[in-house]
Amino acid sequence: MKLLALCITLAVTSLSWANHTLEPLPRTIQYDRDKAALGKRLFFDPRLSKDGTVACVNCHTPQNGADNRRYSIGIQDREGHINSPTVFNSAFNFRLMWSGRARNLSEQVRMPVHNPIEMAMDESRINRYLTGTPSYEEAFRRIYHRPANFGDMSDAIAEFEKALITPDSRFDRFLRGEIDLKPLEKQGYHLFKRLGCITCHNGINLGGNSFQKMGLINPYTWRADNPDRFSLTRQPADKNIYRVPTLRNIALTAPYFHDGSAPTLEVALKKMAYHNLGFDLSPREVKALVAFLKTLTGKQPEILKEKSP
Amino acid sequence: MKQGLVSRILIAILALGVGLGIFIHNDRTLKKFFRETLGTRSALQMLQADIYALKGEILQNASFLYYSYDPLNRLITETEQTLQRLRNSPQLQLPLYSTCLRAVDGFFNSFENYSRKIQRFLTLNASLKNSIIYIPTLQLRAHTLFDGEDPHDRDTLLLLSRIDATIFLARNAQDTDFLSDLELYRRSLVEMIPKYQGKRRRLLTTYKKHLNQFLQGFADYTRTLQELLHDPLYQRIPQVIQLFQKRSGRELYALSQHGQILLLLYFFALALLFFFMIRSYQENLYLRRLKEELEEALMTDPLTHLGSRYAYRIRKKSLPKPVLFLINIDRFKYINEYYGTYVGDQTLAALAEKLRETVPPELGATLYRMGGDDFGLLFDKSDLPHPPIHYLKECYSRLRHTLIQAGDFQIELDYTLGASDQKGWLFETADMALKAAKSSPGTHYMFYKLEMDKRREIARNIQMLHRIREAIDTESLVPYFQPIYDRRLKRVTKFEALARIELDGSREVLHPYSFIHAATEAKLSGEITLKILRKTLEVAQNNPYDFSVNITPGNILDPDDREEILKLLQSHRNCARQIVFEILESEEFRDYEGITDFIRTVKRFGCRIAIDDFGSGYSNFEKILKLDIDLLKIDGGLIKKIDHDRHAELIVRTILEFAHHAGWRTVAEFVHSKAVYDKTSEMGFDMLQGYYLGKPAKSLQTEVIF
Repeated sequence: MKLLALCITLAVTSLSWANHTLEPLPRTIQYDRDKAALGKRLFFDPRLSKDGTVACVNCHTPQNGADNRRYSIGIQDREGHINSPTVFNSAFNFRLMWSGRARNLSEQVRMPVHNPIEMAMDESRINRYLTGTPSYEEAFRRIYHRPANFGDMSDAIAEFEKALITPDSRFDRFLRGEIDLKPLEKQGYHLFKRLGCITCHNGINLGGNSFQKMGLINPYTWRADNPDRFSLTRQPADKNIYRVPTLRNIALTAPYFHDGSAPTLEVALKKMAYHNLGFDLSPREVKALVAFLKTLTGKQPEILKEKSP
Repeated sequence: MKQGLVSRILIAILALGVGLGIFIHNDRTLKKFFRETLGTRSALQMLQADIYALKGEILQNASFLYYSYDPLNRLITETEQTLQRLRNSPQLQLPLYSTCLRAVDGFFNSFENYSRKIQRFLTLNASLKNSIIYIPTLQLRAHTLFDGEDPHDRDTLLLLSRIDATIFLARNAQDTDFLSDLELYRRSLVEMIPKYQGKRRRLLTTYKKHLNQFLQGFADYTRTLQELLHDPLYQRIPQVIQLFQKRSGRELYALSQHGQILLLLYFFALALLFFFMIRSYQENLYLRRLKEELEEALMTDPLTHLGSRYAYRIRKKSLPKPVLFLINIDRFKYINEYYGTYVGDQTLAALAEKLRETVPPELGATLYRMGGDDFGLLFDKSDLPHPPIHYLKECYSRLRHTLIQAGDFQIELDYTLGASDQKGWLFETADMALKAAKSSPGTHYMFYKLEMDKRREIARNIQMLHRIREAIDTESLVPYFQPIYDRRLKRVTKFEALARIELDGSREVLHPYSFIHAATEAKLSGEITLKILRKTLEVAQNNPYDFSVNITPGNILDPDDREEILKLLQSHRNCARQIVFEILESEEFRDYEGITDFIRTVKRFGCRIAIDDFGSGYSNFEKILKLDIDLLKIDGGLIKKIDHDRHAELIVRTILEFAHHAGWRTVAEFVHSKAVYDKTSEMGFDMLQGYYLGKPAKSLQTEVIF
């Protein structure tokens, strides 16, 4: 019976999105509820930062998994130089951070915590704080069967982040054959493919699965503090190569690019066209593409609606 | 034997345990081996499958203009995880698999490079695709900007079409040969650009940039793709699998050998167990037989084939009113000594035979050899027509004067029989009866009577001993004084101190003959003597008489007693000379030297010495002569019958004669009547003592009664 259901599912899915270039998000995802609940609490806890002002949620708000600032603000209102990427659907990304520095979520969690202008904490201080807070200590012992510690903390937060999916966007429903897109949206979708955006923005997250260059045709300004591949590899060819950001919920996550230099979708589209295609988009094309991108807005993650314990 | 059994059980348990252990061990090791091998193999196979799937994904990414990178990333992650699992697998940590582990490690490192190369390829590929997708769009725009009628514009459009077609061909054929053509076109394009202005120029410039992208990236792209598709990784994986197969085969071989050795060991243990079991079984058989034999031997006397004492004891318990006759051969010892033990044994065997014949059948008696020459006859007296004594008599009369054929000799035996019906002490009481019969001349059989029981006497003695002990401790042991009458001075000159125990506040008085035996047995006579001496000395202090105190040779010869006596004399120097020691002639009277020495010592204090009970049977004139004595007291046994017994008179006269010549004064004891008094007076005794003259009393009676 199960096998039959699987066959049907496979047949239907393979029909709906030929060659897997794009995939809808799953409606639900399996995760450990206890860990995620603990992770959620930690995600919202500003005391994980040095001065007790910055929680994960400061830069990854429940509205879009990111903030709407050009640059995120860390402890003591220090401004960074990077636009925060959304944490929504990040479990599907092959790497995390603009540079792809983190290979998985729990690895990623540690980075802002340590970053001196973000949360500026170290492992021992975190451990002290967690073990010194009875409710945390109790929860960690219950779930991990050992004293609260930094490693398990990142695991719990990662588990929470895994649950942050935004399913049932209009586009996903279209992919699943449940609805049809409006003509303008469809035009935008076709343009998305015709202009080659899909070359990099593909897969389940429409991005987040490869490293690509910004400014293939017309070079993009390079700055030494760019969070690009070069910052890791020091290879000149890696300058301005970033982990491709997801396009899901893109309408909600302005401003755009690693430097937050595009305040609107229109500006972002024009800039991408100029730098990577070498041409200006027509207003009609921009309108169609924006309409398409807006179909990528999904439902707010269920776990955020749940009451905190 | 019990220990043997325990150790054998332990060995059996051990063997079983070892066997079980071996089986479990073998089973576990093999299971572990198969589980691990299966795990490793499936991981290796998965690795192979994933790598080939990866190849497929790379190809699809290369051929499709757009294609999702997700499956590719998934495969990379999966491969990395599989490799990590393999590197950490406990099996590959074994020394046997070290080459395998090294190969896996090598593979892991190569794969890291490989996945990095894939990411670079994806970037490269995307940059080319970006242009390849966009060039047709540019081409279309060119048609709207350039005039097909214009020869220049037509050449330009043609050039763009050529570029487009060549890129299409080169990319789809993966052929870098066309790059030289494209390079030529690029130069033409570069020459053309300055001829145009505005939108046209911008289009051509963009076109040129895309062409540049392709020219710059394509060679790298094809080379990278070829490298990815023909990476040595693809050859390495079968090698690793093969290597693993060989090693795991070797491990299996080693394991099975190991298992076989263990199994052999187990069989050996099993054989050992069987051996022990058989041994144990045999031993059990032997022991059971031995037990039967021993029981038989225990129940039957081997010489006479009568029941043993053990058998007697068992049988006795089952009788409600048992009677035992003990039959003992008189002077059997002499038969053994005279004829030899062999004949002795023959005699016993023949007597057993004889007993079987002579015992009256109506008794339903069983016969036993109770030990030595004691035979037992046991029966129940209930329901018998006659009392047991009747049968005892009958038994004796049937047995006596019968000749026993023992070997070559005919021996006439005599018997003594003891019998008892005392259920609790059947044997002991019958034995008492037997002894009683033996010690009564002319009696050949006796039935047990209460008086025979020495146990009562012993109990009495014990009780007496308690009394004496108590008397000594509570000062109720006191001297009673009996006057001794000096015939010449016609008055009482001496007293004999006699030990008495006053009971119940002097209302009852115990005489020495009722306790002296027990006291001597219990070595208390010394204490009694001392006590009496001390109290007598105290009396002598205030009374100007002589006092004779009884002392035994045992007291004299005991160094402690002797020392105490001398100490007492020392502390009563003023009245010591009033003391006369009466030494009893007895069996102990052997160490004359010791006694002589004592006499010499006490004489220094002025004491005198009397010999008591002289003429009672132990008297040795010669030895007595050598002692420095003063008085001779003639045995009361002789005196009391002296008035009518001529023999006694003769003996006494002789003693008196002897004493007269030796210069000793004489005392007659036991003067209990007028007749004796007259007789002794007539015979010339110096002093007289007895009830006729005065009884022993607590106080000094200086007047004689008559």
